[in-house]
Amino acid sequence: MDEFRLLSLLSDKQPRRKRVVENILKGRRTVSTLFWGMRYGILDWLGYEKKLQRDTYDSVFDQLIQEQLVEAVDQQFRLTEFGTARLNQLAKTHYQPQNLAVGQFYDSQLFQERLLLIIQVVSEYSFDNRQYYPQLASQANLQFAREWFRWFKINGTVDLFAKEIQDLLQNLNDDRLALLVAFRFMGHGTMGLTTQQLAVEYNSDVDQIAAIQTDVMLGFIPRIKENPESLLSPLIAGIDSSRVSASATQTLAEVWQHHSFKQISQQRRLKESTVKEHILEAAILLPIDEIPYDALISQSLRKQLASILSGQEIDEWQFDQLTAKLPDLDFFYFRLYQILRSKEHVK
Amino acid sequence: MLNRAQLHAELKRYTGFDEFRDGQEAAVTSLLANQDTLAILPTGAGKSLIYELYGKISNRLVIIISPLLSLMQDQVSSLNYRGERRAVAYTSLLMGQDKAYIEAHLNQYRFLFMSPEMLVNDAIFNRIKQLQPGLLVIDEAHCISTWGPDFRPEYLLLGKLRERLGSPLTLMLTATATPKIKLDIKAKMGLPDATEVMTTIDRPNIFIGVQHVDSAKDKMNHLKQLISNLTMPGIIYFSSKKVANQVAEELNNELAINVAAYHADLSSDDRFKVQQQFMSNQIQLICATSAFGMGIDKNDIRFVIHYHMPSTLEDYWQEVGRAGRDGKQSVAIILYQKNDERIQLSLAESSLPTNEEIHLYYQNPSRFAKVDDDKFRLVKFYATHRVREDQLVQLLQKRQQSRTQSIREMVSYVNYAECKRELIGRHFKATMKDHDEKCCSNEITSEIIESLNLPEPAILDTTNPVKLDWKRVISNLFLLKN
Repeated sequence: MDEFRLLSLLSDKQPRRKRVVENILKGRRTVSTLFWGMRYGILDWLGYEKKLQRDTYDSVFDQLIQEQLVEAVDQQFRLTEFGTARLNQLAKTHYQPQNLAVGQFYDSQLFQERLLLIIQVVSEYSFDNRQYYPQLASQANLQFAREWFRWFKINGTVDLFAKEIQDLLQNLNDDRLALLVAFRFMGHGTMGLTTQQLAVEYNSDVDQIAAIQTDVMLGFIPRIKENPESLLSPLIAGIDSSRVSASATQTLAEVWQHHSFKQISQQRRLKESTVKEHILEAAILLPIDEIPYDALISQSLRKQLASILSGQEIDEWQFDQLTAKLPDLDFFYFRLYQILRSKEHVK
Repeated sequence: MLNRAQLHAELKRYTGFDEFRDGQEAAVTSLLANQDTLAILPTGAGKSLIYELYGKISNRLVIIISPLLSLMQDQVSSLNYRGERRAVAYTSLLMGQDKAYIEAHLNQYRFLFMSPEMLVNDAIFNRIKQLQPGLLVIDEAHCISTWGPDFRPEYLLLGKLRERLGSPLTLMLTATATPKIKLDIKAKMGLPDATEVMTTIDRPNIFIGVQHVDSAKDKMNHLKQLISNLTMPGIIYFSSKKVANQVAEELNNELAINVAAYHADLSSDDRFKVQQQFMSNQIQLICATSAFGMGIDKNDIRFVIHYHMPSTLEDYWQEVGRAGRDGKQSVAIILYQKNDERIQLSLAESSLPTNEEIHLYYQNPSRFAKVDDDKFRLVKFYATHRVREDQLVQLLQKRQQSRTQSIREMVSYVNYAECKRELIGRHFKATMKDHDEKCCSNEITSEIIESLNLPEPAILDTTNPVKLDWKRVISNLFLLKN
């Protein structure tokens, strides 16, 4: 977390909640965090800094306020003119992740570990060496590497493999980035450079370097996918991770099968409020056509809500304002309608 | 039962070695005679070979209880390195699917490393029991005596767990143990009659010394002076990750050597790189916390400097033992500034729960159900094992006293004006070599270092990778056929 990161997650137009931005970075998946993360257009950053400390975050935030780069608007925050200028200036020298969205759909840790491991395995193999210390990897990935290697010896060659790795780096069209990632690789007689060593060399810091390496490697995934012949194809099998939790996915499937909230909550022994939270989570994270909005929210209710809320920005809608006119309205429908309208708006 | 020639044949077959190192043969022989064994062998003596060879010969499951995750990983890696794939570390760091994978394939492993905390888990314990392990190994067995009561109370359960496992043959391994600790280990394991295998703890090729300094600045100056006089590679130990980072940075900037910091804050990727670079002499000097070294198999380390002294003589001697495993002249030096022990004393104090904290817990344990802090974990452990509040207070008081005592012993060592080696020998009740000019000193001058005639430094790998372009990196990585 640094000045640039935080500035880039704030806006000069839309005031944003301090804790929402923090919770998005930490990967807290409450419906309220996800909803506002969607409204701010920063959902791809979900879980980007899982270990972020409250103290660190607050001190960077306070510093921005003190320097008048950020101003408070009704307990929310917005970039000042200075803030916007500083952000634009910093953007020239700072790396902005390109593949965050890929990271939301794939287990990047698993992918990186696999790739680093098989690079080592092929490197040692190319030198005919069988005695070496394998890189630290999970049991599943060690097993994966063994199986992949057996397959590779039949279906590939070292030259083809090296060419693929070369192409991935070549495609970055940026020798500096390519070198940063190449130094992450280890193999026979090649020990790589640590993030610390690279930070000194590039006059950057350890976290920046690690973030760049991860982001560039994530960008390999779509490229591997494009090429079914790739020797790296097996690496991306089974590493896609759904953004929506397993339990919410199940709830959604049941809603598509026309089960009522009551049925679902009884069958699965969940509170009805939990069932509703599942649907909101899925609605926020999935495209509009993957949610049965028509079954969930009637046209007549939509009309009522539209007329009461007409002319107001979606961000400014207040539930309290509606209950005066629709005293029995469940918050769930208010929020779901808000999500629907947000998604239609984006479309 | 194998005779001596057969045993040597097995050694050759599995390891390629012709000869055992001191102590290994006696320990394997004792195990093959079905005797529970306590082996006290110095660091670098090849303790793991004992259970490795026994496992291969008996062809039965070997369970190795080990205190440190990083150490387990290192041991699994070196078994892998020697071609043994049926080794795995079953640790709390495993992801759910990995854990499930190991559990489902448990019967396929020959060497299973785990922490005492993992063994306590009923489900896994019962599975292991079914598999009827041929050997239970307690690695770093001194933890039963020195760590057990506070940091790792589960160590105290090992005796009972062993019994519940059906009392399998047991090997207790440690590098350093005073007679008192030896007795304590055997008593807590319920094996008072275990055979003892011991070799000398002395490392006659290591010169040991202390340099007293007046200030932090003075310490840094002495450190730089030492480094320019000594022969690489070396390790400097710190109690603080922050200071390790700072010193590594300063040395890197000012001296013409490659230095790296190593501690728990590094990613596992970077830790592996630092280890490998050090092993292959791309890095000559490591600024580390005690996390570094347990699994490092590098025998030409020429010096170990303690920027902060450790908290016990046992730890000290263990860390010193990482130098000079090749038998050539090496050096171990503590840089001591008056009151340095305060760091250790305050660490010792702050890591144990206070009487008030204990009282709060006993009054209302449910309030702490969700607290996951080491101190409360400790109190909870004793409370659930039916130790009364007053007993626990007393127990921890005694524990605190003995830790303070250990730190005081360390200070006495540092201030001891006579032969340092003799004092170490007295502490461990061991025979040491007689004092000579290459034994020890209370002041480290350039002349003394020079008189030691240190061997030639390891040749530095000077290929500077940063000057490479990425295409060179890739082509170096793969020996391309075209």
